[in-house]
Amino acid sequence: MKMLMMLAALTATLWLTRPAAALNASEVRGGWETTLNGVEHIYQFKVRGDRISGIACGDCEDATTLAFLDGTLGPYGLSFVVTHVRDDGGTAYQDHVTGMVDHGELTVKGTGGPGGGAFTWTMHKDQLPPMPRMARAPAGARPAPPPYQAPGPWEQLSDSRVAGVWLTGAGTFKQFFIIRKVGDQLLGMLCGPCNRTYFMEILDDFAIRGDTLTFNVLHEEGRDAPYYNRVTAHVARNEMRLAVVPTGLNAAPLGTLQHADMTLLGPVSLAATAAR
Amino acid sequence: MKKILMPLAMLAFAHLAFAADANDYRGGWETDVATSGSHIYDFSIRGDQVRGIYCAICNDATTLAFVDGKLGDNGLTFVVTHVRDDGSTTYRDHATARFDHGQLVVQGTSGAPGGGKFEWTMHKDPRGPAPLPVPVNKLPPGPPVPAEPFPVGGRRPPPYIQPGPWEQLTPAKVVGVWLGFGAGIDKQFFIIRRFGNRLRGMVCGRCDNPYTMAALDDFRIDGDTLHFNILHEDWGPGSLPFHNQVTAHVSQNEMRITTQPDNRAPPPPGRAVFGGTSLMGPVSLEATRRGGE
Repeated sequence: MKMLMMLAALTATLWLTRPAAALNASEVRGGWETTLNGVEHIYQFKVRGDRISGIACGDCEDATTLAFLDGTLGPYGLSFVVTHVRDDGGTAYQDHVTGMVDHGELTVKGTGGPGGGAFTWTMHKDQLPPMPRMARAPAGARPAPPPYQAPGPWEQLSDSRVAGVWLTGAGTFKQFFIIRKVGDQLLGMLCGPCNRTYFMEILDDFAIRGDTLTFNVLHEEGRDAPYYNRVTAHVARNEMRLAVVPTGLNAAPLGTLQHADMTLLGPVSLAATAAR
Repeated sequence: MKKILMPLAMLAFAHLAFAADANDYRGGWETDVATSGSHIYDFSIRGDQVRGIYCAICNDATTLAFVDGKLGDNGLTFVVTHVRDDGSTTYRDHATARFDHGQLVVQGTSGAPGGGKFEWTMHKDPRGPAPLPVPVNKLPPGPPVPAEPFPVGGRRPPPYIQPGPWEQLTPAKVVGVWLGFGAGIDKQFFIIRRFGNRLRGMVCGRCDNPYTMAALDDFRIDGDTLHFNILHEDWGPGSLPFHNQVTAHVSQNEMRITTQPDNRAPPPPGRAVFGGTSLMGPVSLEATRRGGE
C-alpha cells in the first residue's frame, strides 16, 4: 500500500511537472511584457529548436534601453542571458535569467542590472491583439502615388552608417527601427507602438555589401508564424528605403502590405530617444 | 532757375534708377555648380534689414550658415556667420550683392581657413517652386504654379493620435534635423541650429532648389511649445513675402507642427490653416553629411 501511495505521489509529481516538460516553442516565442513602477519591460523571443535569441527593452522607443538575449529552451523552461551594450557595441552588463511558462504567464527570475540585483517578474502576452493584416485598397479607389524617386545615389554603407533609430509613420503607430552594434555584428528591433508586444519584432541576420543592407524581421507570432520578412535596404540622404519580401510564408497573398516598399527616416541617435 | 531744376530732376531720376527693389533680391539664389561649385543664399528682407541663410549642400546640415545685412541703394551688404554645434562662431564671410539683369553678382571675402576673395554670378532656379494644393506665387513675378492635389485619394487619413504627452522643450531638445513631408527627393529637411544663444534654421526639400527652401527664424520656446517662422520670400501661396508661423510640439522623436501664414486671415480660435504634419528626428547634423561619416 505504501508503495502504491509512493507511486501515486510520484505519478502526481510527474503530472505536475509535465507542463514544464511539454513546454514547446510556440508557448514561448514572441513578446512578453510586465509593468514595473510604471515602466514596461518587454522580452521578445525568437525560438528555433532549443535556441533562443531576441531582444529586451524597457521603455522600448528609448533605444538606449534595447538589449539582446541569447539562451536555450529546455524541458524545464528557458535559460538566457541579456546583454546590455554600449554605443560602441561593448558589453555594459549582463542579466542571467531563467523562465517558465505556466497557465499563459511567463515567470522569469534573474540577476543583473547595473547593481546586480535579483528580480522576479510575472510577464504576460499583450492584452490587445495583433493588428489585422491590411490589404491594399482596391484598384481605382485612390490614385496611384507618384513613383518613388530616390533622394540621391545609394550610399556606401557601414555598421556606423546604419546604427541608430530609423522612423516611419506618425503618431502612436509610428514605427521605430532600432539598429545597434553588438560586438562585431548588428542587431535590432522594430516596434510601434513600442509598449505593445504584438507590434514589435526582432531584427537579425544583418549583412552589408557595398550600398546594400539586408536583414530579417523575425515574425514569431500571429498567423503563419514563425517566418521572416527579408529586407533589402539602401540609404540615401537620411532615408532608408526598404524592399520587404516574406520568406517561408506561403499564405500571404500578393498585394498585402507585407510585399511593400517603405521608407524610414533617420538615423536618430540612440541618446535622442532616451527616457523623456 | 531752369539750370537749378535740371540737376534736381536728374538726381530724382537717378534715385529711381538705382534704388534697390527688395523684390529683386529676396528669396533664393544659386550658383552654377559646374563653374562655381554649389552655393545657395536665401534672403529675407524687411525694410532695409536682411537676414537669411547660406548653404553649400543644403541637406548637409553642417554646411548651413546664417546671413545678416542691409539693403542699400547699391544692393546688399551682408555677413555670413558659420557656426559650430554649440552656436559659437567658426568664421564669417563678408559680401556684397548687386542685382543685374535678373542675376545676382556676389563679391566677397571668405573667412574660411584658406578662404579669400570670391565672386559668383547667381541665378534663380529655373525649375521654380514645387506645386501645392493651392496656386503658388513666385518672384520674379509671373504666372503662378498651378495647384496640384496631394495624392491622398478618396480615403480620409486616419485621425492623428499623438505618440505620447508633449515634452518640455529646450534648445538642446529641438536642435538637429527633423525630416518629413514624405519620402524621396522631395522629402523636407527642417534644420535647427544653435546660433549664439538663440536658434535659427532652414527648411529645404528638395534641397538643391532655392524655390523649395526657406529660412527659419524667430524661434521661441514656451514650455512644451515651440514657435518659429518660415520666411517665405519668393515663393508660396498668396502675397509675397510672408511668414508661415509654426507652432510645434515634440513627443517621442516626432515634431508635430501646425502653421498659420500671416498673409491670410487667421482661422477661428482653436483651428489652424494647416492642420498638422509630423517631422521625425532629431537627426544629428553630422548624420546629414554627404556620405554620412
